[in-house]
Amino acid sequence: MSTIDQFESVFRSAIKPSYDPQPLSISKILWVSDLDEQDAEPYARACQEYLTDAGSDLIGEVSILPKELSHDLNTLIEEISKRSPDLIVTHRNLHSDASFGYTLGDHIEVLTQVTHVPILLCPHHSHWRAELLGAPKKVMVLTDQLSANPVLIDAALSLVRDQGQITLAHIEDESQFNRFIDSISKIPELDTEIARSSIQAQLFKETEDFVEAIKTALLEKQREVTVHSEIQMGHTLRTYVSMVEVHQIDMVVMQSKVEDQVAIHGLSYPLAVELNQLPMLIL
Amino acid sequence: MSDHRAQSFQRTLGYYFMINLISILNPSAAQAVHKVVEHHVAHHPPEAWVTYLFTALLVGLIFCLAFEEKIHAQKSVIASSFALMGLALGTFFDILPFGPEAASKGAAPMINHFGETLFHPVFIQGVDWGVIAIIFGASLFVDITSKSGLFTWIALKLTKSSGGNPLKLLWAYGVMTVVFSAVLNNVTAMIIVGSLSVVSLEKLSRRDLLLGFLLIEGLLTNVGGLLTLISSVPNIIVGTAAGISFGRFFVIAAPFVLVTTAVTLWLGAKMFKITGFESEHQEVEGRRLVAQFDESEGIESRGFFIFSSVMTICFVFTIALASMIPGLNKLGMAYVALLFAGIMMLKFKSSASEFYKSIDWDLLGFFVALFAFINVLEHAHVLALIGQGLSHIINLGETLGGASLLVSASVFSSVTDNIPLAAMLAKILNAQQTAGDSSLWWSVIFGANLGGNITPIGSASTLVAVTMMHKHKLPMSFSGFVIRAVPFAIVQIILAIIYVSLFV
Repeated sequence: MSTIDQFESVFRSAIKPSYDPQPLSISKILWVSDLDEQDAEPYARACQEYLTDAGSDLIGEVSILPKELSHDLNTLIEEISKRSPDLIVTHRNLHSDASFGYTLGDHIEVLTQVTHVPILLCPHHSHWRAELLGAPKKVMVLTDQLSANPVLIDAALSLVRDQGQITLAHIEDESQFNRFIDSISKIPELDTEIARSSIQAQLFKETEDFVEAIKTALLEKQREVTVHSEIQMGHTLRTYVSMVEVHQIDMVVMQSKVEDQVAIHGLSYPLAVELNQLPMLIL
Repeated sequence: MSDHRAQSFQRTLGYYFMINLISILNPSAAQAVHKVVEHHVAHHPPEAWVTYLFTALLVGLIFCLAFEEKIHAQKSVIASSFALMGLALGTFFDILPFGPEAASKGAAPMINHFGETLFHPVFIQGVDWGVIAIIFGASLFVDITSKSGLFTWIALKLTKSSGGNPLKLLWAYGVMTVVFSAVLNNVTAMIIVGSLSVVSLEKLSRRDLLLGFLLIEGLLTNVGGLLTLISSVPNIIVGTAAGISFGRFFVIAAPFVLVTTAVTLWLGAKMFKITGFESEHQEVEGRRLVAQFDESEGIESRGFFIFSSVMTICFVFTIALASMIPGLNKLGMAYVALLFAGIMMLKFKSSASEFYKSIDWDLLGFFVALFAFINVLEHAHVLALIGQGLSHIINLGETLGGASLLVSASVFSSVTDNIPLAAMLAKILNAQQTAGDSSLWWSVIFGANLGGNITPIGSASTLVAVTMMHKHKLPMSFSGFVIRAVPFAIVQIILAIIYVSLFV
């Protein structure tokens, strides 16, 4: 313990993340779909009930955007801007063919990037019914996307039912990690095994610290929600999909925007495509 | 020269035969005779040009230490080179206290209290092993103790108690620098407090204050280094030579350290415009940010943390009271330092070698070589020569002489290592039979420590402060440091002169 860097490391690792829950304020909800108005009605009603179930703070009015106004992307964006909703509820393959499960459709891809309004993305109506839309009991949040952005947790807390459960999922990409370790193994000055165990332990510890901060904050706010974490090293997409199955997750909360690119967030897109039977809250 | 050496050899042979005979009959008489003999045999005056030759060697050593960075050589290597050179020349000129057995045993004789003759190489005899043992034991003890997370716990607790207020943080870190410099060594104190300053000011988004914080902390390490007898190497060397006890040292130094710390922090806050919060929002945000520090982060074992805390308190008290505890008053502070290091090592008995790696072997090697070299210089009458020069300063009187000595020591130690300076001056004052309660000892102690604040190379801890500035891309040239640090150094040295003149 004698070098400058060693002590700086000790003090840096002593900084613990903190979390102060800020529930989402949702009073105006916009239902966007390619259904006729009478077919869309049950979904809108279900959406209203869903939000009522989720918590009294979220009782909001659901308005239906006529399908003619959502067909053209420019019109759709204009309408959203005009109506300035707090939440958009829509479905996959909006105005596109849903028979192939390889894409979310152009409308959704553009919508997730252009608007800053949270989007609740439901499965396509061709194989999903309004009755299935209920306040989720089990919500999974992708914490590796958090990076000082606790709004994902805020959103999950706003939508999960009381007595529900939030799973904070964190997967470190094993192939990327192994690539770094492989490089370290070729540097004589660095001990490969120490590097492997220390880096992995530190990566996990940072997430655990954040999970602890969330748990503490929820305990203080007396929210009756169970929080547990799943921190693993593995193939990110496969592991997330398997976690959803194992924990019988009802909804996934994730981020779609990255500051330095216009495309949808790297992992969010394939995950949204894979989990096509699950509602997702995309921020 | 050969005749002179032959006569010297015969004389020496005769004296040692006599001592051995007397030691059988009466050990204490033998010791008394030995002292006379040693003086007679070893200290025959060398020719003047030999003394000047060794003086030139000393100047060479000082220059090499001053330009240590430029010549890319570590202290131990520089001092060893000069020590080896000095020993070879000393042997050639026959100024070293070899006995008649030296050729066969490869060592010079020494007679202990029981009249037993011991043979040690001549370069071993000149080393003050008490000082080496204190530094080794205390370093080991501190290194193991820091493993418990004690020092980081204290540092983070203080950070949180400041509420993130920059001015309170400066005072908290300033006081912590002084206390850590007193308990640990100056370099470790600078590294701990400096690293924490970097991290906490970044967290508070006040990186603009970092330069001021690091500079003030660097300057305060040398003030804190004055607090106790074991706080810095010059203190150990001079204090031991003067026979100043730990308690007396603390009682004399503490008021000065207290006042100088307060003045330095006040001046630093003014100079670097470090102020408190200006709005309630800033206060709330500052509190929130420092609350994120978890002081228990570095604590791996609660039990070891408590044990280390208790041991640190015991260590300081035992060192302080060593001269009053029967048994320990004979074994000395060096034994206490080694004992506490040994007890702490029991916790890590299977990985003890890890801690040996953290010992500053360069520093210890430097001390050993330096003591050996100074011993040669003593026999070459170089110290007597410097003493003659110094006596002009000392003869100016207790007040003016002491002040001149303090300023000279400060100026000298601002450009080169203060350890050879302290070691040399201690030897000279001792040779002049300066009383233990003379203020001249304190002039050397204060001057040797505070001189380190004039330039970035004046002390290892200010050099660490500048290294940290450069690591964090803060511009600080040699002249830039001197311009900023000199006002502090002048104030501190003036305070020291007043204090030594009036109160010591």
